[in-house]
Amino acid sequence: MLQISEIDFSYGRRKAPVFEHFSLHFYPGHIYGLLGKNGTGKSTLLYLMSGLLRQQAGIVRFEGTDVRLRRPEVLQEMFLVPEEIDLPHVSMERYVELNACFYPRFDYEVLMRCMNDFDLDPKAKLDSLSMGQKKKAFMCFALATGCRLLLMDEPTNGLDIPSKSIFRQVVARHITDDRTLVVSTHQVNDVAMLLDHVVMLQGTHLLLNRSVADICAAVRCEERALNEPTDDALFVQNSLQGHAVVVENNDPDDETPLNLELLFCCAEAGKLPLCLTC
Amino acid sequence: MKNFSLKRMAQVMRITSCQNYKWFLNLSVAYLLAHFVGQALIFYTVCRSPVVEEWYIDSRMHSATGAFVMISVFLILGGISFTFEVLKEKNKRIAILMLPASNAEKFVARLLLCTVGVWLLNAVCVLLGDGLRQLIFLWSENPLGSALPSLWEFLVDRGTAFVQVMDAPFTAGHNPGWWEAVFALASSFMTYSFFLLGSAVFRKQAFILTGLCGVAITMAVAYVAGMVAGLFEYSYTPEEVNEFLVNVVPVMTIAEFLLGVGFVWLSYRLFARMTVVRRKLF
Repeated sequence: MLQISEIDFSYGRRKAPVFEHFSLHFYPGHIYGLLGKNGTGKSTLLYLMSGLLRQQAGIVRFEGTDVRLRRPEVLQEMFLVPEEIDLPHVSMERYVELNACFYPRFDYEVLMRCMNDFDLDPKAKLDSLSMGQKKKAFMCFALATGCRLLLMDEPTNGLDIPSKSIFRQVVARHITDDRTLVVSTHQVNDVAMLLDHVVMLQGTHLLLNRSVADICAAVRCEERALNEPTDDALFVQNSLQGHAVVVENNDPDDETPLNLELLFCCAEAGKLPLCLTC
Repeated sequence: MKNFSLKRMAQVMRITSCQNYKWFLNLSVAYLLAHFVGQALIFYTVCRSPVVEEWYIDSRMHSATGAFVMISVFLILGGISFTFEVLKEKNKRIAILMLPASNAEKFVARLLLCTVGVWLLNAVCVLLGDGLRQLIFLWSENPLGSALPSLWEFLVDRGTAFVQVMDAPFTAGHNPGWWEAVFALASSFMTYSFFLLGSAVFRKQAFILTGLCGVAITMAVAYVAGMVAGLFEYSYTPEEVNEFLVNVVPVMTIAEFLLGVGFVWLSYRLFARMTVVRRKLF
């Protein structure tokens, strides 16, 4: 669906590079989690993927077309939900009336269902909504566009606790086999249940790029009491119960739920097993 | 899929005008106030006097026409300077750049709104400004009628003169009047497209910054031209200077027209290559 091939990017000649010889492929039907510390280029990568930034070398292609050209046929298949949203002084009904014509597969019923799930009023003026409500309204619109590639930058920032759960349900319901969702976030626990692929960035390169199934088959994330041994652990972190550990999974039939926060710290510390490293 | 569709461009214009109607309302109020204040300043003294001679009223009407034209020129240049103003905010840049329309459609849509749209808006504000001035001065000691007939007369005169010049026969392949008229058009086009380019480059305070750049460039060109002329120690007669100017006007007209086209093309290139995070050159 989207190929990033050997790109170099920096915000200026005198600035440190954000990406160097960076390559990554996104395939349809997956929900990708894009993780990384502050300043590692998560938002930058989303902007490069949507043609909002221009790399100095390499190419980003959506179904064979260079995204920098910003061609209508590419843009109508790609939707970006930025971290901060500025919506006009119109109701959602009017917003749809003005914008839906640009998206050939726009589904009004999907929009209304999502708005209903989030308890949003379609007649309310969009610019008068709170930040969280604006985000919810915009995500509803994004899902209703029928775009095959959805890019979301910190989608759960500003959402209240019930809305985070509704967000997961709404996304899970509408991401079909031909659609791809890329979620860039620090709030890993909000989206961990949704993801089926994890991409971690470090410095100018990829730290991890594996499906959740591969990760769970390779490592186990466990909680151990203080008196339990941790000698076999790849990575140990103190927790309230004792220790949170990452260990190699020697029994592929016995997988544990993925603890993304722990896995991220393990990857950052360079303790991932060789089979998972890039 | 076509890279330029009139239907999609119309949709972009619709979305731009509907989603930014508050901004257009503010602009309308500013334009109306500018015309009203211009007229009020000119007619204030006349309205205060109980008896005013005919010739003085005529001269005020001419001044009012001049004010309408001058203010309109400033407002129209100001309007074109607003073409890319909306893109100064990151979120709005994302919204516009991610809209599924081609760069050309988005560019032409904005250009049309800030040219044809602003011209129409200015014309309406001229009418309303004149009406408002009459309404407010209605209770003065000497209320005066509309200045619009005088403006209309001026525009018809200029239009007729232009058509006559363009229609005049060329004598021995030469017609200075024709070239001067085309030169004026080319100058206007170049100035207009220069302000369009300024909008693409600066975005914030584009009108002021572009105006300052224009003044600086004009001064630099005049200085260099003066220096070049000073190199030849020969005192030219006024006839020689006139002849030189007549010969140089066609060259300058073509140069200005090409520069104007270049400025429009450069503005489009800057828009098409615009990114969500700008390098801070300015």
